[in-house]
Amino acid sequence: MAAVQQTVDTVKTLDVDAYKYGFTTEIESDKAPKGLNEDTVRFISARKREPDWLTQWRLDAYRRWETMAEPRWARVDYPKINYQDLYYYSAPKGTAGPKTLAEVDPELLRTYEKLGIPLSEQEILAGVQERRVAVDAVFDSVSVVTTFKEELGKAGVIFCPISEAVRAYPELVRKYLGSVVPVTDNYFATLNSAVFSDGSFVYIPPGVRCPMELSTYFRINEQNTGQFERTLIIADAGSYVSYLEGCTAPKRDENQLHAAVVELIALEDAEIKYSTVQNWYPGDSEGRGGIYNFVTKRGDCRGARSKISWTQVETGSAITWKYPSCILRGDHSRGEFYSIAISNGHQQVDSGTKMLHLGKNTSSRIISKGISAGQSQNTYRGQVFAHRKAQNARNFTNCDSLLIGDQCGAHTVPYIEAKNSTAQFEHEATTSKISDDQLFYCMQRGLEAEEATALIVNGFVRDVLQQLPMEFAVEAQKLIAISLEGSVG
Amino acid sequence: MTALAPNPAEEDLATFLPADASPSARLFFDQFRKAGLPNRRVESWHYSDLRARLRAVPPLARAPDEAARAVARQKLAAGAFLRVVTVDGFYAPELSDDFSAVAGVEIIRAGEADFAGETADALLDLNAALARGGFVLDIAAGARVETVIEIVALAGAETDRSRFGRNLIRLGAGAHAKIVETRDEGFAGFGDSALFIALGEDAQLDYACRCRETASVEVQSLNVTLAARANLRSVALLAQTPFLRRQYFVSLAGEGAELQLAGAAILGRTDHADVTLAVRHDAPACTSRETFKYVLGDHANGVFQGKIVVPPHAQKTDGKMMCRGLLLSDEAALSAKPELEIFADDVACGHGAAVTKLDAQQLFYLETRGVPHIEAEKILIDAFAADVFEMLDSEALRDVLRADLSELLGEEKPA
Repeated sequence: MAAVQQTVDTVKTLDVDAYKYGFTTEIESDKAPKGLNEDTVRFISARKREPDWLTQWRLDAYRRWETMAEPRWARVDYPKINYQDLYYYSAPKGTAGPKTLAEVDPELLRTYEKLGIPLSEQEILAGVQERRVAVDAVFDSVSVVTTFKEELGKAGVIFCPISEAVRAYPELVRKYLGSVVPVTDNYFATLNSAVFSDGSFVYIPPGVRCPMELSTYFRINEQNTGQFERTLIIADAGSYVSYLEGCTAPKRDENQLHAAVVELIALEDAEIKYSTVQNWYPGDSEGRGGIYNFVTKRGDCRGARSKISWTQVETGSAITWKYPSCILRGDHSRGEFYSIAISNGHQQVDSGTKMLHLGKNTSSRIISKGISAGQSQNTYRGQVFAHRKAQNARNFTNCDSLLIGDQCGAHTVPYIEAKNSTAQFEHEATTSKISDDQLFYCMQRGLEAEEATALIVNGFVRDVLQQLPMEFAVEAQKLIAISLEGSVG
Repeated sequence: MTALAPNPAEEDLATFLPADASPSARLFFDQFRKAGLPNRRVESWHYSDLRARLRAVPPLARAPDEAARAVARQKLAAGAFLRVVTVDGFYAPELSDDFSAVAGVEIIRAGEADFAGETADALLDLNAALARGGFVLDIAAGARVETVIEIVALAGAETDRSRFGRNLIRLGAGAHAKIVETRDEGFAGFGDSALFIALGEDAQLDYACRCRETASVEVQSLNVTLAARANLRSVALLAQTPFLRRQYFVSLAGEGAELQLAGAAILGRTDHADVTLAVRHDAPACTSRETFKYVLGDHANGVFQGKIVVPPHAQKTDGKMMCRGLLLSDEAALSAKPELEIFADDVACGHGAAVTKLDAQQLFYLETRGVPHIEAEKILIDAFAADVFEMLDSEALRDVLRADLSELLGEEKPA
């Protein structure tokens, strides 16, 4: 087995490399060799002590992935990704992490300060290696997590890493994993299916209203779940859950490519509210570096009268390719999508949603606010579809774009497909700049141009901010102001 | 992308290129061959899979002989307007009216050099490679042509043909004209026609197109260029289209140009009509308004793809696009994709799209006043569609379209 030998060799060289940087911890030896092949997939699956069906599932995905081509239809432009030049499990920390906060990009620290993030958390977020303080913090929050777990346990809510769920609740995972985003869905989702590292698993039992907002922020191993996150949320009949993903602070990350998959399943009368604030590293002012965020998110309103609501604030990442969608399968089900996408510098955003009306009397609502500044490109791409049998499908779409500066672009690409005479679809979109009158009015009352812009932009996105949970909304508002810094004047 | 399965129609088309084709015709044909017949994987043809639809093409239409002209003449009813007639895509001076009495109007046979090289689309390339014998309708600078000019496209051959008409309407600086185009080539065969419209500075054109009978597979390309302060008002009425793709490539090339594009499609049976717009605001301070309406009954399929492109230098752009659909049957479908592509910041652009069925309250209102259900439907459909004709300046053109519409609604209700 030449390939296996090669793998062994590669692992050896890697270990030597890691040693050079002073890393001999157990975790470090736990990484898969660079590159992607069936061995890597098996390696990941074995490391996670997964049952055979899941290993086969991954391998099947990998084989399919090999036959697929990377999609190029989105309005984003990036150099070709060499998939053999990436680590697919426990990305090595030894190469780029700063030792202390003093080594961290001062720009980043200033941003933390403005967001009001405590020092200990700053270190975690910046990826400082010798983080004695941070470790404490980690333990602190671990205990926090434990208290929460008890409360959740009382309600019967399951909230754990997906790798744990595979072992503890195999029948649930097996039943629902890949049932919304199938293995064959698209290039990045298939890649994720083959190599997904970790992610969250949530199950809300019938009739339970989840007693608190669930958030990945509380789950500290988040940092190692890395590039290929897989989230699976199941809301059983009559239940309710609100889930928060990400955090408002810009997070340092060596991983260039993020290909996550999120699957939501709402059964009869269930409701899922999924909020994301994404603020990954967008690259420097010259457009170098930054995260590629290629995410597949989809919710399935499987039961009658179910509801799924997506809210997203996208300010980070060099490239965003993301379309949180709703399949409105159950009769009277409802899908919502609220989005703020801000691009500055050299960022490229191609984001939107899909509302697929399949059941009777389904309704959906899309509110998308795009703001482009600097030399960025911001595209809304969305689809609203009514099946021939989707009697009385109803959709309202509003997508507005705001341009700040004359070197950026704002684009709108909606697809509206009605195959049923009782469908009622409305779509409106506008693109404009901040009106001089509004700016003048604010500045006349003593605001600086930048503050005035932030104020006006916050007004522009208010409809979406209102959908965010309260704590998040406040931070998101600050974040918007920070994201747009340097775009005026 | 995986290799496409060979399509026999492409082989047929290859035999149409004559041995003595000019180098530029060969170049256009090579471009077409390279791209192939567009399929649904080609984004701009997503909703009209020509490759799947066109499996074979009938023989190439030849320049009309006496017999063909006789066939065409039968269909050429007496009309109120001065007419320019084409038969199977070829300009037919024998059937056309005498324009010598109209000051500032000149009609000549078109040569290859008359058309700007345009390579935006595979079917436009194919047209450029194979079209012969179209006309150039020249309106001299400053001429104000009060009489309405009608362009009539007729069929001459008794059997199915492939037709490639390619004509040019050119208005000199400050010229004014009113033109109606009547496409009546019969329901058979394959058509790939192109009409070029070039407006000089301050020129004004009212242009109406009525598609009365279109080929079983037809592609119409319009290539429009507007110089500074030129003004084009264009309305198309599409009906009875087995498979029609009507694509507009518009460049607002001069500062302050104004464009009003509108259309109404009244479709029934298994009709398919696809209107695709690519409107480029290539100069600052241009205005464009696009309004398209669809009335879809039976198994009809309506497609609207609109794209407004605003490059970085086109500041002060004002663009609004609207698409409305009325679905009269559960089997009818409308797909709309109104796109904005904007690189300039000082712009006001917007688009809207709405799809619904006839309003029950409005129907009820009419019925309570004694209007029979069928009549009430007709009234509402008529009002919905005829609205787009209003943007035309010329009363005469509006009347032509209105008459066509009531004829359509009277003869056969689309539902």
